[in-house]
Amino acid sequence: MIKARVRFPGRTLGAMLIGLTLVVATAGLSSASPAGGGGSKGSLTIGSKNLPGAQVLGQLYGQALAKDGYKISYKENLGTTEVVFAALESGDIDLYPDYLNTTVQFLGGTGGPDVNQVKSELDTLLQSQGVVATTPAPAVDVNGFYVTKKTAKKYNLKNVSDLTAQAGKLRFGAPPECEQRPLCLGDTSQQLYGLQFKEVKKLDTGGPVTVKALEDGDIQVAILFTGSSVIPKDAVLLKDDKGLQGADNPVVLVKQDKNTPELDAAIDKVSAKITTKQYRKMTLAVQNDKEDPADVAKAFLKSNKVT
Amino acid sequence: MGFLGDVWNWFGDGSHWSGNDGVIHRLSEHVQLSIVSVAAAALIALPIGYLIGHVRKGGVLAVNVSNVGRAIPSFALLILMVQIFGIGEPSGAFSFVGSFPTFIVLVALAIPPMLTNTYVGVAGVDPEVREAARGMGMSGRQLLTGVEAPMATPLVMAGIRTAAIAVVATATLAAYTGWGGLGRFIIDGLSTQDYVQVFAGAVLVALLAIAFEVALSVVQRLTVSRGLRIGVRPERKVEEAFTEVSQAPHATDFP
Repeated sequence: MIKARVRFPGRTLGAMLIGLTLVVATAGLSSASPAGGGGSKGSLTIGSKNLPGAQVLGQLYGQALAKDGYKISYKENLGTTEVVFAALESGDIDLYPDYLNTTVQFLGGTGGPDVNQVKSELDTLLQSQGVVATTPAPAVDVNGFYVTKKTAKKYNLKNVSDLTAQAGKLRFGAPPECEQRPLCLGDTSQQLYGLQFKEVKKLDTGGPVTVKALEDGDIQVAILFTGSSVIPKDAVLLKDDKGLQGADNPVVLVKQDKNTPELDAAIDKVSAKITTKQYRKMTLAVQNDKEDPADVAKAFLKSNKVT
Repeated sequence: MGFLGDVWNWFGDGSHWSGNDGVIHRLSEHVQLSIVSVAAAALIALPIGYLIGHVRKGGVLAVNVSNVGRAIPSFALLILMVQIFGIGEPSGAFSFVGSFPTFIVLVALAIPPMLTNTYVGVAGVDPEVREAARGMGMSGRQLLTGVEAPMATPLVMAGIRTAAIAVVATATLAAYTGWGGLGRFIIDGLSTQDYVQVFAGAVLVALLAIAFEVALSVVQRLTVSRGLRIGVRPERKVEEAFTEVSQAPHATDFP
């Protein structure tokens, strides 16, 4: 008798939990579009990769297109390029934002530092896939060699190649894997710039430790990510004058049968506004401040008068 | 041979042992940071522990305040310390500290078990023993140094051992601030997906923790008064003595 009474609330609780899980799961699977143009131009499903920046991009294009009269549904945070590109090919999604160089290398191309060149390589690679790429946005999120203004002045540094002669006097702070990575201090980097620093400090991955060490002068040169690290006010990005970093600009991939000149124009209008600085601001809002990508995108579109 | 075989081969590779990135150098850095941190924490925790244990006042407050150090995750505290002190690697006279932010974290981690154990050890001395000492005319200082401190030693040593094990394991965090120590193998291995190196680093940390434990148990054996040693039960000795006395021929026991 007592036993039954004790067990009853447990069951109710269990049932409630299952119900709640179902509700949350369904809500999470496909969120309907926010009130917009009402879907007069047809419906589109937008996917996104599992990176903070990519999720903001997905929301940016989605909300802009919704205002433009498309009926938008989202499949967010799907995974890496492998997963999301496959979803696009199979028609589970109609478009998603990826990154230029990443996509080219995923498709077996070589990529490179020049946006136009990599874009035409991507167009060629996509021909057989039934997918088209829109004009890339100006933003890039790559390894950046940063110094303080004081260091830049003292050693007369503007380009990464200016570092080559001075490196022996400078301490360098970077992610622990930097010396093994071609685009950091690994082989390709050594062939182009031949940087032999006085000391290489293994710090965090473009995070607070590296920033603090640069600010304190414990290191003079830091690797931070142009589009996803907090860049100190006093820091200067040295120009990658020999083209080490790839042109990893955001680019929207659209299923060919859904693509129209009108859609293209609507996407390009948004892309044109996404500078590295804006992209970084939005990425950090999601990555560090844990803001909702949808809110971040909404604020961006409003302040840039896209919608 | 599989994964464990790869780890075995990693240890067999001489190049992993020598040089600045070698096991010997990283191990010595790790030992240095651990000893310095435990010693600094002991200098803070033990005097306070003896004092509040002796006066039997403020113990709850002190123990709870020091336990805050246990409640804050070491990693979060490290990030905070880096924000305050930078990656700070003192040069000159204080270079023995190694990584200053990690040193602070390790000291905060080591204080609570030492302080709590010392306080409990001293405060827990049998009141009758204390009264007897007072009755013999001992001053407060004599009572602390001659009676309470020796009787508390097993608990104090247990606190130091607990702290040392935690410090050896946590000193791996130093690598996150760009310093050395055995954590280098783990953090660098993780960032390059070299899990053999990660595991080798973890094995080294575990072995070092065991080495500390063994070394400190030897110290404990040397410092604890014979009569207080675990394994020698005083009651039994009294009983034996009693039996011996009761079985001995008694002076007044003439038939």
